[in-house]
Amino acid sequence: MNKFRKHDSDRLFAGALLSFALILVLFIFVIISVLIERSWKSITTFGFSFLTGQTWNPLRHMYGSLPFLYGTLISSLIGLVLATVVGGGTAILLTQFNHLRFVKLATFLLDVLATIPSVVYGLWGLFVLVPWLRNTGEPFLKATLGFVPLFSGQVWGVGLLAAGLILGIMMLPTIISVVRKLMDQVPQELQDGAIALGATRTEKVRMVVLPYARVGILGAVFLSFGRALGETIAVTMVIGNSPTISSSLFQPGDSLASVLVTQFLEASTHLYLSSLYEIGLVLLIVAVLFHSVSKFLVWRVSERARIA
Amino acid sequence: MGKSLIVETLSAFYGKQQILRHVSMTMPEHQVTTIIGPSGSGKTTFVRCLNRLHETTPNAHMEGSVWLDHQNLYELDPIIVRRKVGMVFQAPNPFPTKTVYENVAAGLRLNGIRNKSIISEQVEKSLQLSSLWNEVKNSLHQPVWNLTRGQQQRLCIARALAIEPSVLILDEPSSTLDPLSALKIEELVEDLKSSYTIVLVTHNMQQAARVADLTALFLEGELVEQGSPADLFTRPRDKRTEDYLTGRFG
Amino acid sequence: MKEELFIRAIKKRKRRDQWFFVFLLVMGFFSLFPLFSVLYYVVSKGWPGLFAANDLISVFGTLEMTLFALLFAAPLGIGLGFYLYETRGTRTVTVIRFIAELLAGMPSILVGMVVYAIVVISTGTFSLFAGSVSLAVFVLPFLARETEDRLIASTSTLKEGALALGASNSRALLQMVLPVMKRPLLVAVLLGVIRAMGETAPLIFTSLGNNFWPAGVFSPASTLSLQIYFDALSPYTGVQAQAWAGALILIAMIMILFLVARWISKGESK
Ligand SMILES: Nc1ncnc2c1ncn2[C@@H]1O[C@H](COP(=O)(O)OP(=O)(O)O)[C@@H](O)[C@H]1O
Ligand SMILES: [Mg+2]
Repeated sequence: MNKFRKHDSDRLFAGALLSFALILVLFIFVIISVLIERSWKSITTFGFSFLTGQTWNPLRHMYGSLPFLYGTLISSLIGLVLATVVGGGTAILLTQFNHLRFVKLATFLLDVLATIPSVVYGLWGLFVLVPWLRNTGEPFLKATLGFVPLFSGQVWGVGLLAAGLILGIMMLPTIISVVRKLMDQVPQELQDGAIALGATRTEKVRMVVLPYARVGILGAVFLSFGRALGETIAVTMVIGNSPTISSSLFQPGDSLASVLVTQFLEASTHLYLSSLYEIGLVLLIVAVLFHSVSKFLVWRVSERARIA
Repeated sequence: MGKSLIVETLSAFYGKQQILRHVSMTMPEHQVTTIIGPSGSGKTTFVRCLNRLHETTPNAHMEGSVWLDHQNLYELDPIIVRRKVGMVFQAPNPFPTKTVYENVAAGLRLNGIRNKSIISEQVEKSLQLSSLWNEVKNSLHQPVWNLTRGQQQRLCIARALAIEPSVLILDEPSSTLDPLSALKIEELVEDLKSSYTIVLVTHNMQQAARVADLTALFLEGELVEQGSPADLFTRPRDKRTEDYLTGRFG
Repeated sequence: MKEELFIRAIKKRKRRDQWFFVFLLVMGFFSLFPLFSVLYYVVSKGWPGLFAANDLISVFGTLEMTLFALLFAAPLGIGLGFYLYETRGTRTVTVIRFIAELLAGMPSILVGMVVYAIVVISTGTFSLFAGSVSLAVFVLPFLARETEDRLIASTSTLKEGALALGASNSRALLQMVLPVMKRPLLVAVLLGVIRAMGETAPLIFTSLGNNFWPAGVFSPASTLSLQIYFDALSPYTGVQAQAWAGALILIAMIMILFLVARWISKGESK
């Protein structure tokens, strides 16, 4: 008797939990099907040329999304490089040199940093970072590195570089906390092994810590990259909103997410709106791709840690 | 090559907790000194003070001095100390991302030796010394996880020997190994003592009796008694030693 | 001879170690500098424009919309978190887990577009309600993952104890685990509120923004984040000042919630 009741309540409970999961499946199904359905007209009209077309001009009914893909990838890449170097360095500082007194304080401040909303970064970017880039940062880069095409041309302030810098700042808390966790997982015996051979802290980091954590760090990098691709508001505010492909990082550009913000409510024709939905679909695919790769990499590291 | 290691009134702490209390002892050259004692008695802490590894733990510190060849190790640069005092840990800890060869060469590379022929000569010599050469000479550039745990531990010995230390510390090197591998390590210790000062921590009293020239017993952070194994095991002077040997302790 | 070389090499290695340390300190500085700069500008530029009428409208919009969103998302997200926790390690659930990850990794603007296509078009108006729906979908995966993490962190031993005593699985979870989980779940919800509060992108197509008090749940409404976005893009410096004031209020609200969340989780760990 008693056994039966136990069994029943368990089944009920499991059923309730499963329904939550099914709602989730429903959500994702609805999202994907709406995106596909709404972009169907654009997909059938342009086919593959939607992805390769370099001109986005709704007035002349030209819908090529390459400038947005380009702007998205380049700005995210800039952010990624900055966040990896700065965030990776900070993570090493906080884990390997942890006799420092400010570790606790720094951890708290980084948590605070992670709560600042995207729109506030955008605001700060537009009124603090962009003027600084226009008046100081970009002229300096141009004077010193101007022979590289990346740092040549007219100085605007808004543009791919500004977007990349903002993205880098926004990625920092995640990169730091993931890399810290990975470095904390490096077995103490290995680290002691390096020290006992006479390694300095730097040499220990290079010899055992980084090699041990490298796959996970790569995962963290992909994860942040996936997030950066979809970051919207802050990028929209500083990227310049111009659908052009330019070799200079100083030039205004546009990203997949930000063209949606600026043009979605202005789309006056069915095809225009459909093209924007297709941009959304492209964004989804790109973001999910990077997200999955990163999950896989992080999973492989923890799997290896479990085996070892 | 070997030189005596002399410890004077060594005390060690984790935070405010005192782990070792005024330990003084001499570990003579060309001899094997074994350290025995129940787990938690401070054996690992003691040997970690000998190569100044203890102080790298956050909040850990020590007092007293350790002398090698008329030099106070605590007045030298820790990197120099670790070059003179090699260490092998309880569980094999080869660098998992390096090959067999690179594991042994790691210490040489750290010390700025770039010459390939010197390195491979030294790698071979160290692997010979740890009697691993015949087993790995055809797989030098393979990852280390292809080795058995016993082989990995001997690889760690080779890694420690490659930089030619004067003192070799082994902290319960065979406690996580199968009996056959443990025996190999024991034989190895016998072979090596002609050239090094050897400090062997062991939980195995038979082993201590077999290989030791000198044995020291640690209880609760104190050096209770030291002497030749024959004396210590058969005619203990201290009551606590007797209690420990007859299993009445702890 | 060899020893001398070795000593000289050590000097070089130590110098390299010190330079590396300096480099790391600089990186640490770069990590924290933006925080101080953002806070400095938000406070100094936001302070003068505080207490304008529009702020009040946005504050209420933010509170209402976040509240509605969490009313919807918190039970679902926590339930989902329990589901993920309960089914850890089983193979059938990897699909669900992957979908949860998918939703978590999805750019929020897409949620806005889909809610526009469904809610806004079918109700015929941008609205506070549509905004809440998009925020709810946005925080749902976050809440689920936070719930699962906290369950793992604080209950695995507890639940096993209960199971060993012979409680059935659902009883173990409901009677033993839930009471202990009250505080951690509250913290998870608070962190969800923080995330939802600052979110802007999906609201542009759903809630639109409004300079006046919204006429009801089914009319366009402003939030602080929307107000900051639109005011920042204005060419008038007076309006731009409003953006900074909005940012100051938003950050202050988020900070308070953040400190409360920390305080709760501190009390719990004692
Ligand atoms: N990192 C540490 N922090 C604090 N206490 C420690 C640490 N390592 C060891 N101890 C304590 O020091 C004492 C001696 O440990 P140890 O030297 O490892 O003993 P043994 O090697 O003889 O088993 C034990 O009580 C242990 O709990
Ligand atoms: Mg020990």
